[in-house]
Amino acid sequence: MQSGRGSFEQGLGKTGILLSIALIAILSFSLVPLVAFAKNAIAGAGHAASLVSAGSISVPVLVRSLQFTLLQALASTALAIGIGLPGAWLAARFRFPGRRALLALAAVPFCFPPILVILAFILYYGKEGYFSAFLALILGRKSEYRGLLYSFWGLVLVHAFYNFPIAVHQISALWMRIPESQKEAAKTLGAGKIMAFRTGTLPWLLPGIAQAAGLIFLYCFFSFTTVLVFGGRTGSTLEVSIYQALRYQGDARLALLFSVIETGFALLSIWFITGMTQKQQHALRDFGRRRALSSPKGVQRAVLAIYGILLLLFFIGPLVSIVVEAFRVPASLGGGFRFGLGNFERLLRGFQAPLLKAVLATLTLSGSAALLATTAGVIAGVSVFIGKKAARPHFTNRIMEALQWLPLAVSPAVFAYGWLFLSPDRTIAAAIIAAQAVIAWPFVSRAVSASLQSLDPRLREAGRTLGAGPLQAFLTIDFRVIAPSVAASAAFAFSITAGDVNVPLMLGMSEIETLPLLLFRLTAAYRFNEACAAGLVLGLMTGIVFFLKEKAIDVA
Amino acid sequence: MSLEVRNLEVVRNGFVLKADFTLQDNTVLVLLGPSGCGKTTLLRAIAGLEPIQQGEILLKGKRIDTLPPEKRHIGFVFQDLALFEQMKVRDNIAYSLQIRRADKTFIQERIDYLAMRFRIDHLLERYPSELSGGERQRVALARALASDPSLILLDEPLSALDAPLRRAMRRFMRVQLTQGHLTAIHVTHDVEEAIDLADEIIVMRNGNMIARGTISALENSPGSGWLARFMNFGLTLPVDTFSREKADNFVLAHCKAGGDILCSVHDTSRGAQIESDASYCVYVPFSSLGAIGSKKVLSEAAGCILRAIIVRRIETFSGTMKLLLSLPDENEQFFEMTLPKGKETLVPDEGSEIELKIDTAKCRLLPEEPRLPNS
Repeated sequence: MQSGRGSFEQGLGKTGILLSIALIAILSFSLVPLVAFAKNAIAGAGHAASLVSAGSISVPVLVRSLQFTLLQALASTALAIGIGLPGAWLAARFRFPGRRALLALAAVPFCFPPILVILAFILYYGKEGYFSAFLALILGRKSEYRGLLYSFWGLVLVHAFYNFPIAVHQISALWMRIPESQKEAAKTLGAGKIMAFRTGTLPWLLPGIAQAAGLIFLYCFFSFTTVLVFGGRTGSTLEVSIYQALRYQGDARLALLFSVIETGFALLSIWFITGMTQKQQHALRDFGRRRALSSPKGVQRAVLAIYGILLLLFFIGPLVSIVVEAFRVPASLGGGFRFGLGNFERLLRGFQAPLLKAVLATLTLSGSAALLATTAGVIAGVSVFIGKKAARPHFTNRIMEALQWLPLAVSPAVFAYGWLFLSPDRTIAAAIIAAQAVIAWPFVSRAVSASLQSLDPRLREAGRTLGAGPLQAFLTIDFRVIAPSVAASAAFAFSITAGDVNVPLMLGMSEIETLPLLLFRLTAAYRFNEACAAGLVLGLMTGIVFFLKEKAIDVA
Repeated sequence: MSLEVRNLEVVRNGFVLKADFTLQDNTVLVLLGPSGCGKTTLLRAIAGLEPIQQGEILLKGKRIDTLPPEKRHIGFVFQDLALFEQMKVRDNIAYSLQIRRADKTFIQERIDYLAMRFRIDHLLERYPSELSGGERQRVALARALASDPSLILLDEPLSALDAPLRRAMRRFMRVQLTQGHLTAIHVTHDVEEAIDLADEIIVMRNGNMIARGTISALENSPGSGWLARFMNFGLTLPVDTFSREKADNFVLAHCKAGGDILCSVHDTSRGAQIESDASYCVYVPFSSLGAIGSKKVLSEAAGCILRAIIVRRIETFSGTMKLLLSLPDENEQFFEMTLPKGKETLVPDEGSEIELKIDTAKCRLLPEEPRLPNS
């Protein structure tokens, strides 16, 4: 008699072929643009060695850029973790009104494009911003505060506030699972509160903190729009340097060199993150179910209240200011404001009526990119799952898993230009769609393979013993599990691509205007109220899609 | 007196736990009860891990309920053992001594002594993740004892082990507790484990201590039908009617399953009191089922007769036979009886009815539900 596992292993010959085909498809999709970019850059330089020796490349510039990138990423990460840790503790320990909202803020970096958050910070923390006015009200003068936003620390502050919800979400999820018994054991053995925390909680929490820090570091390391807007005077990240090299100097060699250095450091971060993730997952396997939440008491209530107020003041405030400013219409003459839909009207009916075009362009480009990313992601996710199930790890699986990290390690600019070089007649729209899809597919792939892995294999086996064939078992059991996660990750891919300003800015500012680009242009032209109106439309669009994604997950 | 728990009350999420008891030195007390009855909460309250609303806890005459857990000097073995996975076995055992800044030589000697006593000397350089279930148990026990605490609290530490290892571990534990002259409270829901480990047992239900005593005292007088069934001491036959006999302590109870049974009303917890609003049962301890045979054999014998149906005949390793029986009118009450050697041939086939002789002197009329201490 042949066991189910035996037949599965025997079938791996065919599976291996399928996995190889899937790998070739994904490899072509992800690596070909990189090769095209490198080929063009090297061809421009004559040969690879001349990349470094080329006269246009100045080593001090490279070092300065790398130094600034690392410094701002480290400082931003430290501050984001510092702000996020108390929130993670509160969310992991206590039941309080707004707890879900605090955790939902983790969606902000994904469904709120950086340009929108930048705009919010300008409106709130800028010279004429609400926070400035608030400080003036308290201190009676504005001068002390004026320089912060457009400085190194302003940049760090924006990064920290943009990314701290990731720390809250990731760390609290782990903290909730850490059982109290180790801390209690330490207490019964004579340890005081701090020592008990150090012995019973911290060792389990550290991988989670490190993982969140690694992820935030990576996002800040690749920061582009924020640095472009706020960091100009103080320095430039590698990502901005790549943009400048490609866009203004037309120097693909320099861009390639910057991106190689950037990828090297990103790979180091990814290696660190995956190590920490494995440690965290190992710990989670040993832990039981999540701990029940308790009601805060005494000092805990005070901490909660202070944290809530600070969050409202420093984080929610800027976001709310976008909504207010979107409806605040500047009077044409003599100053003053009124509330109404004037900003929207101006964008819809004014010169060239850019809003509708931008919405359509965003929907078309991001919709197509999300579709492409979902197709690639499902192929990759399913093949990773099948590869993991095999008795011996298939080589295709390792490559596929590594490929999932590629878009996090390579500059979007490189993908964008790579696809531009590949697209027939250098069609910008096609290049934008392909480049954004390359950036988004790993999110789909990871979600699909994770949802397949989360399915208890006994359910599938139960289906088979109850008479379902392999296809029927897949359709009635597996498919029902992955369908919501595919829908959710497609929505997620749409949110990411719709909010992406990097790729369209690299390729299409003069020819195609997406909503983030419109937002960027309006912000650069100091048309903040109209920018807010466009931002609100973009925020609503990505927010609704993100909300639908969360609902799909809830239903699943 | 080692431990005194006076009028303790713990309220948590609407659940109220009440406890009042004392514990002598060098005694192993087992807190026994079904899941959710408050055993672990009581243990945690004693250790200072659960805030108390009312009452006092004294250890060796000193009030400890106002102290934080780290100042109570009580050893606690957790259900999941809570070994520090990032530390080697050696460091786990040394932890409480290092916290108390004990002398390094003393720590080393103590580790060596405990490692030898708990047979874990070859495991000292390993991490907890590299140990088997039984080894982890021994390390957890050694860690809890390292600083020589005045009291050891054991919160179902054996629950994760498989049956044979569990049996071996509880015997090992009992030997260690006895040889070390330790005062301990062990929490379990397993009656067999309680019998194996306990000098004394407190049975808990719905946050209340409903009975306390040695196993033989509880068997003799369980106080309620619920307790007799929970401890598997004997049969509880629902009573239809009963009438007082001339002697105040006796009633003639009529049960569907056993006919008329003359039994004692006296119960250590209530005296001879009968409450009109309570429902009653006749408690027939298994030790009172003295003789067994087919209908013909027993019908001539004197005494009260109980009819039972043979569900299964089970041959044991020792060659004797065990019967799984049920009562004709009480289909859900199954019980086992071992046949005396040589009687096997007298017993009819599975599905047949047999008669058991009851020694009514051991029977008690008991209320179905336990009486709460303050009711």
